[in-house]
Amino acid sequence: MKILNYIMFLLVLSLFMPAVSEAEGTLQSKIDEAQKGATIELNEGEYEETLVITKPITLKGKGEVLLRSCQSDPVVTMSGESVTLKNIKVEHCGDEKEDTAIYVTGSNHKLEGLAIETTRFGIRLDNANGVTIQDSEIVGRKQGNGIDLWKSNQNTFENLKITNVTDGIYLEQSNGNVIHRNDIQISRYGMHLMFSNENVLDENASRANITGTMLMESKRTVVSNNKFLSNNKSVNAQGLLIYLSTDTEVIGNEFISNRVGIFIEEAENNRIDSNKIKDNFIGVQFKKSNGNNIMRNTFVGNVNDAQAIESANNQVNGNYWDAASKVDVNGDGKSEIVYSADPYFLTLTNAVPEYQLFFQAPGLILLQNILKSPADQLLTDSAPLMNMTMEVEKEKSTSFSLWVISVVMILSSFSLFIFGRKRR
Amino acid sequence: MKKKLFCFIVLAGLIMILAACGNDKAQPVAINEATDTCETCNMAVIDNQYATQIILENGKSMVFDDVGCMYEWVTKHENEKIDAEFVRDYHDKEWMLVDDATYVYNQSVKTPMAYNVISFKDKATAEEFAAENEGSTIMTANDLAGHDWKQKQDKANHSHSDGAKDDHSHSH
Amino acid sequence: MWNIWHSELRMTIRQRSFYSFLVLWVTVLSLLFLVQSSAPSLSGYTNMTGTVVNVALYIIPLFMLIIGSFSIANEMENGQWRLLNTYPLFSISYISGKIGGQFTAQAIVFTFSYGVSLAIGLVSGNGFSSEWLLSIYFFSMSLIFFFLVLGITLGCIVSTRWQALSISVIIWFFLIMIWPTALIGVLGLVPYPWIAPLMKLALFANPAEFIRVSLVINLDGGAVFGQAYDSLVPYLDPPYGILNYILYFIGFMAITLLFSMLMLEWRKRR
Repeated sequence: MKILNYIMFLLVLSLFMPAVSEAEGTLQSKIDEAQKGATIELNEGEYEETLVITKPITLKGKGEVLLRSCQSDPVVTMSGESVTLKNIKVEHCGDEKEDTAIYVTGSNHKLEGLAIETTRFGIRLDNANGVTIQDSEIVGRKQGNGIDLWKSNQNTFENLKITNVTDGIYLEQSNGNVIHRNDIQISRYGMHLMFSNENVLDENASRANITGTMLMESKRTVVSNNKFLSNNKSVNAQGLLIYLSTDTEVIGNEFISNRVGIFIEEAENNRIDSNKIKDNFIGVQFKKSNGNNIMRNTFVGNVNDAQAIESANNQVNGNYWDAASKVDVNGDGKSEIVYSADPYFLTLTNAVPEYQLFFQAPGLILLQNILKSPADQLLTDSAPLMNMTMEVEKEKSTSFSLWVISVVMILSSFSLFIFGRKRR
Repeated sequence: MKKKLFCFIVLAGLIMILAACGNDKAQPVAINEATDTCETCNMAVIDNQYATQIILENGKSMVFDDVGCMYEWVTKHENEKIDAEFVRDYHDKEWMLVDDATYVYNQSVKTPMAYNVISFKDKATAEEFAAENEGSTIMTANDLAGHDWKQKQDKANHSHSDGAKDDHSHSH
Repeated sequence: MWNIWHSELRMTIRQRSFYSFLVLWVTVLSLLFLVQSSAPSLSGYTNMTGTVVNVALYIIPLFMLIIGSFSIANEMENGQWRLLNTYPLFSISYISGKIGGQFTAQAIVFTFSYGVSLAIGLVSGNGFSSEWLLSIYFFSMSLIFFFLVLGITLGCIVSTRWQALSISVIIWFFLIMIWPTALIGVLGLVPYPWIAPLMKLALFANPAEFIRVSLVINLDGGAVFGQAYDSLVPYLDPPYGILNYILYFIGFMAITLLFSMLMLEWRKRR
């Protein structure tokens, strides 16, 4: 009887053992065994494993699936073509400099519904083309980029939420990518393009980063309908920086509450059209940039609308500047008084950045007015618009508390006044 | 009247002393990652081996994220009086004068602004690195002055030997 | 001290000029609040804030310097001070009574005008952020206070009202109008590494600049001052900011009170 029991026990054990190890240890072997085009469904649970996928298969999570690894290899490495990764949580806790949660090379992969947590990089694309990454979330620790592209073309990034990384989406020598409807926050640079051409940035939101978007030595970029909000905490913060880039189209974006809305340095032949530039400390800054086209933008509520040095030869026409004095004599909707960006403050602080403390100091405004620069060296809007080019919604606040403040002020001062007049 | 003259002399003396203080040998300033940006390209400067620095004669220090950016700045600002230029050792990040360093130019080495030049404090380690990495050119500070500082983004350049190692160091 | 305080307060608010101030503040503030209707947003550091701050910086210090210095110079001129000296009265209580009385009077008229102008703005359909409103209010009150104290200190030095007026204007012109120009000129002479510390020192030396910078930082605009002040900004931002503000207040009071007291004592002995 006892022996029988013992045998039974062993049998049961032997039945369970392989099942357990199959779920825990051999995800990779499942992938190795799978046919091309097969779909592997992962059951709910945690898998402490690194995967390498080299053939066109689909890996799909059912319920809460977590892939986790602290090794120096990526949690998932993809190559070849048409690999699909779906509904999976990926956590990478390795802390080596080049560590990444997902490494992608090859073409036409699809990554969807992922939630990535990483100490360093989120997803690295190395010579990867036609990859789609969408509906996913990446959270980092400000030690690596969320998505990092190296020589990767024609990829699509859509509906991603990226938080707390170095650069949200970083492109180097990568062309023709589409970045659409992503939300990047609390990172160093939202989108960062280096030597990358013909990329499209559309309807993204980049907020509370050091810089919303950096375009560096990139050509023919389209930046349209994005929102650059509250990039104002760092002393180097700005909404959009265009450096040595050409043929950029910046259309229909909103730049709100940034330290500097748009900063353009040594960039030529770009078009900045129909943007809303509101409540920034400085609206636009031009430095040694010429041959650009700035039109139909609405500048409103900026502490200082525009500053420019060595940038007299731009086409600045028909923008709305709320700080400009406007007179329309002939009724064409354009003011007859030209509006110029004053170069003095930028020139002064370029030489000695410490003088930035005088930003909008009353004495400096006086000095600025005395030291008028020759008109032909200024960035000048020859025909400022009388009316805004777009609706600017007004904040509405509840006036009840304000009435209370008003009444308290009046009553308290009045009673003190009565008390003061009284002879004792 | 005497009082005023005295005040003036004291003030003038003070300014002279202050001016004299600036004549010490220029020392490199530590990189502040939170706020330092490259004078040329505006990118944040990471406290790594690619960072470089110029100290002007008036004591102003400027940092660059890539030695190429520094040379770019020097060519664009020929009238500025430069006191010292510093680069860092590729391995231990020690600051040294531009003239004391040995450089390696290798297109497969990634630097922040893709100028692909790195610096070493002694020639032996530079040669060692060059031997390990194909396509390296060893340069001195003099060679750098004549270097054409081409960034590697050109399409025409596309067929270059791409090192093909996956450990390119992204450090922007 | 309380006698001086009360009599100063009563005298000030019975003067006709007191009511002209009421008209002035109501006009200026209402205009500023009405202009708000063209501004899209009403909080944070925007161009409206910049305008209000600059208008305040242009007018308030000048008036406060003149009022402060006059209130003492007047008594010097008409002999009232000599009369007061026959009583056993400490200089310190004389001065603090003066400051207290004047400040209460000015605070009354400013607060009243602020309340009325706010009501006018609200009636005309404008909305404001209460945080922004209170920041501007405390900014103006600080300006009133610091420059009143400066004015009263000045009053202890001068002997006639004419002197008081001219020196007030000079001080106002120096601290407000040509402050950046003067600093840029002087700092051009020192070696570059000295500019940052001297700028910080200068910031504390000029109450107008200190109050202005504190306000901008308080409205989350600290980043606009650039890298050199990145380490300073957290100290001027609440909660540390409040502590530092109080410390600055104490320091400022100590210096000005001590100075004016010594001046008065020296005058008494003459």
